[in-house]
Amino acid sequence: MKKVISINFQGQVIAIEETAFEILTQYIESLKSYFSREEGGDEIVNDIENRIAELFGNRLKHGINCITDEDVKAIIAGIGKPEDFDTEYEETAHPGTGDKNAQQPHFSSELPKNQPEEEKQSRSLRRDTNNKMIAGVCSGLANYFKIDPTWMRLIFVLFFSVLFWVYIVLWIVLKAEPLDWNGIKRLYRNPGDRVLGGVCGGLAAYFKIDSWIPRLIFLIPLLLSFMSISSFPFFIWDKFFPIPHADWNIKIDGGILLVYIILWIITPQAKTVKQKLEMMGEEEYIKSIRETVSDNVASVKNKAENKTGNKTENPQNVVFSESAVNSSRQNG
Amino acid sequence: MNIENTQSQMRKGVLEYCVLSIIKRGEAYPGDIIDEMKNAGLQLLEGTLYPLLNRLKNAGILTYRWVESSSGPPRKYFSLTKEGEKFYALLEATWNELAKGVETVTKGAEKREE
Repeated sequence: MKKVISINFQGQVIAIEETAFEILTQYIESLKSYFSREEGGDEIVNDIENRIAELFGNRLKHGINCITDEDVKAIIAGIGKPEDFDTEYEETAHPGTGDKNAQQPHFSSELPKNQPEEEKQSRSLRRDTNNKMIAGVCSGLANYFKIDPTWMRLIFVLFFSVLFWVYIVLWIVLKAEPLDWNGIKRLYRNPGDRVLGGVCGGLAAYFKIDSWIPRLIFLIPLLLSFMSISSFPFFIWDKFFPIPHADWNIKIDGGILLVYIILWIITPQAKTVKQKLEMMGEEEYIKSIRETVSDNVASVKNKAENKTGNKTENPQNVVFSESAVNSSRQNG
Repeated sequence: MNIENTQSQMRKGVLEYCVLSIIKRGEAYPGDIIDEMKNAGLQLLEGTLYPLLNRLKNAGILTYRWVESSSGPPRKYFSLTKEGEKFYALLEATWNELAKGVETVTKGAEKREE
């Protein structure tokens, strides 16, 4: 005897054995983490979920009362597990490096197809048309020195008076070429952790610190100057933190505000999964995905459990429709 | 040398061509494509097909529209874009060339063995 629960799966109400539901959620979680590295991965998982819902619907239509473990296993076999996808299309993208990268799944369309050529490219100085803000000079230089283009831009902005002409000359001299960024980690503005522009959130992700630290660093000079300007008679702040030059202080807070605004302008926002991966580093990102996925699973579970109450447990005969099973069974 | 690896590489090469060919004949949803491939004896996992369709869509080769379905959630029906037609024509030409060439070469090898 097995407990049957009723779930809302892709807008369909499905009666499913509790154990089968466990198998299903685990499978979908594995798909999510596998496709999370690919652009449009959410969409792929959603499409597959739709397909599963459809296959469930087919089975229920053919007269069975609920989805069993076997049904879910047969469907999973038809769609394939992430381990199976690897051998399906992964190695072609990396001829010769298969062994080294065998552990991690790769996605052929996202990664540069010819690594050696890529490396040759990055050794010559070019203007980068792929990743440019103005003419791609900073991005090209960053590519050449293998650093984050944001730092290169910051240098150019801070030493604007000197480097302006350098920029113009390089703009004229260098050949333009679309380059792929060749570093691992990169500063982005973090849309998931932001108060103003996401700069502090991005810095926090970049340096792997809590986001209140950069926020405090940006805020303290502002607060201090505010306090020193507003002179309360009982204000004894100056005795502990003597601030000798008020205008120097204002310069700092103006400066730090300027740095924030500059970073806001020159730092791209992490939009795609790939960019978020670069922002947080691979491990951190996968950890954060895992957390959201398990949150989702927990909420689905709760919902399912709430619904269990009004679901009738039907011990009627279970009729397997041969055609329904065949239609989704994998023939290999 | 791993025979499975070589076999799967061979299959992979023609997979895109086959899928596009099915879609070229008329709008198709992934379930149709899987069935048709299976009927033809070509093994294709759904977990491979969906990412492939997604990529072709992102590359502007395919486009899709939602169609309500009586047997479940709405389905995505895929069709070729203009660019996709060109892409397919090129693949077709390459395949014909390849098929002819491979035939000639492998037949030649058989003759020599005899």
